[in-house]
Amino acid sequence: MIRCGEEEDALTDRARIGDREAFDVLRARHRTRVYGFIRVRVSSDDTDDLEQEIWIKAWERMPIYDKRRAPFVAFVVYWAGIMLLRHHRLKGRRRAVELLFSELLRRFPELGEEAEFSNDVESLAVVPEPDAEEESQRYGRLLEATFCSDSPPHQLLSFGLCKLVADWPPRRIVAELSGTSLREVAVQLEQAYLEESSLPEAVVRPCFARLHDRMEFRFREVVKKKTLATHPRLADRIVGDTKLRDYYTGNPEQNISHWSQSVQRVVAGAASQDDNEETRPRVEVHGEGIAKKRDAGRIRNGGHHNE
Amino acid sequence: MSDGERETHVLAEELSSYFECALPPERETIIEEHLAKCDACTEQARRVRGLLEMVGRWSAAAHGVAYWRAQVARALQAAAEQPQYQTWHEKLHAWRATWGERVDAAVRVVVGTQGRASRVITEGLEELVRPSAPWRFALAPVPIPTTAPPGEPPPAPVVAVSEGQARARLSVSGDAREVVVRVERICPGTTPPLVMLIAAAEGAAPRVVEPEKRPNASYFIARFEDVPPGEYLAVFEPQ
Repeated sequence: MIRCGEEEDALTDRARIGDREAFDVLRARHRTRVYGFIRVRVSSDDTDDLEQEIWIKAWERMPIYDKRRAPFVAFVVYWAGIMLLRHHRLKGRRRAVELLFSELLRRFPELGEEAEFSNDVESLAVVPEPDAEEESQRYGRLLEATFCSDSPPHQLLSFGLCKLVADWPPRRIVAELSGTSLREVAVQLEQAYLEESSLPEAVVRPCFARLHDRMEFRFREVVKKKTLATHPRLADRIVGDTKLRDYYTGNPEQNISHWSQSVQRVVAGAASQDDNEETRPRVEVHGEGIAKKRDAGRIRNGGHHNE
Repeated sequence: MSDGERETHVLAEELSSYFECALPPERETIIEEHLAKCDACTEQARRVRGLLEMVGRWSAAAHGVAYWRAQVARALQAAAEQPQYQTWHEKLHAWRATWGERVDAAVRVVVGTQGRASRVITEGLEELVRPSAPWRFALAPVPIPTTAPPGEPPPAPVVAVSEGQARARLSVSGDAREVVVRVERICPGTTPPLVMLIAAAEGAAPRVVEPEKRPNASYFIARFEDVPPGEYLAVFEPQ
C-alpha cells in the first residue's frame, strides 16, 4: 500500500525489488521533468513514444539503481540520455549523436564505462549535405552574432582561436599569444579566418570591424559590470593595449577554455533569437538583442567613438 | 509583462547554458518542468539546440565551403535562366541535377586594379571539387606581378596551371581586365567543360563560356573580357 507522502527512498527501495505500484508513484512524481528533458532533444513526433520506452527501460533497470549514487530522477534522465542516443543513432543523425554525447558526458562523467554509451558515429550513414544557401546564411549570421556581440573582447578572441581557426588549442594560445596585445591578436584572428575560409573580404571584414573598434575604447566602456568586477585593475586601460595574460585569474588554459565556452553559449542564444523573431515567446531579454546591437550607447557616450 | 509572466519563460541564452550543463541543478529542474508544458519555449529550445549543433561544426573552413557551395548553386540557377546561355541550358540543368554544387575545378580569382595586384588562389576549396575530378590547379612559377608604374609595360598575368592527362592554364590580368582559360589534350570526341566565372559581389550575374578551339591549334580558349576588379570564383563543369 502506498501512503500519501511516502519518502522517495522508501519508494525506490520497494521499486527495486519489483513493487510496480511504488515505481508508478515515482513515475507520476517525476514525469513532467523527464518529459521536458526528452521533448527538446527530439522532434515532437517522436516524444511520446520515446517517453514510454524510457520509463520501460528505467523499470527494467530498477534492480541496479543505487540511491547513494544519485537521486531517482537523475537515474531516469541517465537512461533517457542512453535511449535518446540510441534513437538518434538509429535515425542516422550523426550531429545529434555527437552533441548529445558531449552533453551526457558533462552530466554523467562516469558514463564512459557504460557499454551502451558510445560516440561511435562511424557506422552512421553519411549525413546528407545541408542546403547550401541556408548553411551559408547561418554561418554568416553566427559570424556576425559573435563579433558584433557585447561579449568581452578577450573572450571573443579566445573563442575565435580555439573554435574557428585551425591549430590554436588553449595550450598554444597561452604559450604564444599571452604577451601579444589584443589588437594584434584580433588582426591575426581575422587574417586566419580569411585564409582558412577562402571567403571574400567583403563577407568577413565587416563582422570583425566592430571588434576592432572596441579595441580603441577603455575596458570599462566595453564590458558588463560583472566582467569589470572580475578585472578591476583593467578598468581604464585601452582594450587593444591589454594582453591575454592581463585577464588570467588562475590556470590560463582553463581560463581560455572557459571564455571560449561562454561565448559559444551566448552566440547560440543570440543567433536563435535572430532566427525567428516573430515566433519567439515574449521573454524578458536582458538589454537589446545581441546581434542587433551595433553602436552601444555607452561607447558613444564614452566620447571615444569617432564616426 | 507582469513579474509572474516574466518568470515563466526561458531566455534563449539560458537555454544555451542549460544544454551546456552550466546551470545549477535547481534551475535545470525548473526549466525542464517548464519545457514539459510550454510549446513556445520548447520550440525555442529546439532552435537553440539546432544552433548549438551548428556552432559545434562551425569553423572558418566550414563557413567557406558553405558560402561557395551556395554561390555555385545560385550561379547555376541564374545562368540556366539567362537567355544568352540558352544553348547550354540543358548542360547547366544537368550539372545541377547530377552534381549539385560540385565542380571539376575551383579557383579563386582576384582581378586587380591600380594599387591592387591580381591574384589567383588555388587552395582552400577542395571540398567543392568532386572526387576523381581531373583538374588540380597550382600557381605557375612566374614572376609575382606588381602594378606597373606609368609608362612601363603591364605586368605579366597571374597564372595557375593544371597538369595531367588534360591540361589547363588560367590567367588573370587586372590591366587587361580579363580572365583567360586555356584547355588542351581533351580526348577526341569530347567537349571541353563549361567554365563559369562567379562574382563574389552580391547580385552580379555569373558568366559562362565554353572554350573554343583555336584555328590550326590543338587547344581551346575560354575568355572572359571586361571583368571588373573584384573577387571571383572560376569553376569547371563536372564531366
